[in-house]
Amino acid sequence: MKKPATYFSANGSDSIIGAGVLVEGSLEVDGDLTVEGEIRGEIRASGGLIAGINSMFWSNITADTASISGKVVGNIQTAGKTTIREMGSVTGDVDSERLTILPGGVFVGRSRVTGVKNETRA
Amino acid sequence: MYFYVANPVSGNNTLGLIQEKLKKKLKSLGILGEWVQTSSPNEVEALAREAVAKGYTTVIAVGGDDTFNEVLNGLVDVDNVAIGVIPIGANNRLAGRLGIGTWQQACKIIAARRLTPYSLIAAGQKYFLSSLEVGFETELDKTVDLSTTGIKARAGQALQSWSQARLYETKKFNIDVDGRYKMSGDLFSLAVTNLRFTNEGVADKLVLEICDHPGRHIQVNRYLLGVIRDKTSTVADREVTTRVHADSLVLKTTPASSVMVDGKIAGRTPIAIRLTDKKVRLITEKALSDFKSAVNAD
Repeated sequence: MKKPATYFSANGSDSIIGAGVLVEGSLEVDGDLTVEGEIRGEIRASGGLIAGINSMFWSNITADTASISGKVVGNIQTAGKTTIREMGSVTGDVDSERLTILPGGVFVGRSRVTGVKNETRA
Repeated sequence: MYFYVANPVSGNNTLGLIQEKLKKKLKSLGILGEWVQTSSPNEVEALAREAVAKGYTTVIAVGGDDTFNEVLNGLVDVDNVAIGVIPIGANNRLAGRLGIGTWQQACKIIAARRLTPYSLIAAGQKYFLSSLEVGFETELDKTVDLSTTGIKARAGQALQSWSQARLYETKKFNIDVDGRYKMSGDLFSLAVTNLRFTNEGVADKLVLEICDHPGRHIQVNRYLLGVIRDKTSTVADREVTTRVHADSLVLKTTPASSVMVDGKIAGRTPIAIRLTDKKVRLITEKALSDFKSAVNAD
């Protein structure tokens, strides 16, 4: 299974849960997190969460940003953007600065979108 | 005050070939101290402790990863001793991670004596600095004799490796991470390292990397290529499918598997692995040391 070059950071600082791996419990990550496996529990990531198409979450998720291509049953809270991609499915509430649902993406729940804060322009 | 612990059988008796040149080089740099050769396996730890008892403040391992690891284990509870390595073993990954490629380069680095503190990692009753491995490479390294050299020997090793690789079965793993969550799945090979060896700007942290089986045939071929090229491959050379950071791990595999620590078999699973507050001061390459000094000064 050839992975794209951007899959891993060069310095090993990001975290990855591979396909076929089951995580049970409270997973707290300092940095970015990529998930291709199954998570049963709480997730907190200070960086972005990338949920691959094979991923499955029975979890509440807190992250800086979230890109969901897998299946999430639980609530998502992000400081930045949440994107439910073409193959993604979220059953739960989303609390984000921005929420994008791409064609084919499924969202069942309530959303609370705070919107982008005013930016100072030069 | 330099104390050298030399392993005469490291790297297919490399020491016998370079010893005089090495000592001459150390003497020219003004750092040739007491020189002791081991006469039996597992003697290094005791020799390192004796050196400190005699008042030596710098202990240098002359050998491969296993010799270096034994020096570290001998000096776990000792403060204010600098530890260095002159890499002449079959496996010199640890020296490589400290920025030391050849014995000539090591001599200059030792003379410069730039120190960098690293936390030790405990695995069961043993301590290590660089890497702990479980799975494919460990099982093959255990069964295939890679000590002999030459084209004929390499061909025999490759054949033996290939037949063993075909028999290798993926294991099941179950890992408790920091007592907060459990991970389970299939395991082709696994490594635990210190994050600081790949990312110098961060604090000591365990990095657990797991390779699963999707690229199994590729991974087997890479291992065999490594045998033929006389360059032992590691889990770090593989495509990692899972990576997490932790302070402590409890690793179980089904069936139980051998555990290799810094290039040496050091027990079997289940095994508890944790980052300790014990620090060793290593003599490292300039760029590494300068960078870390700047970080530590912040």
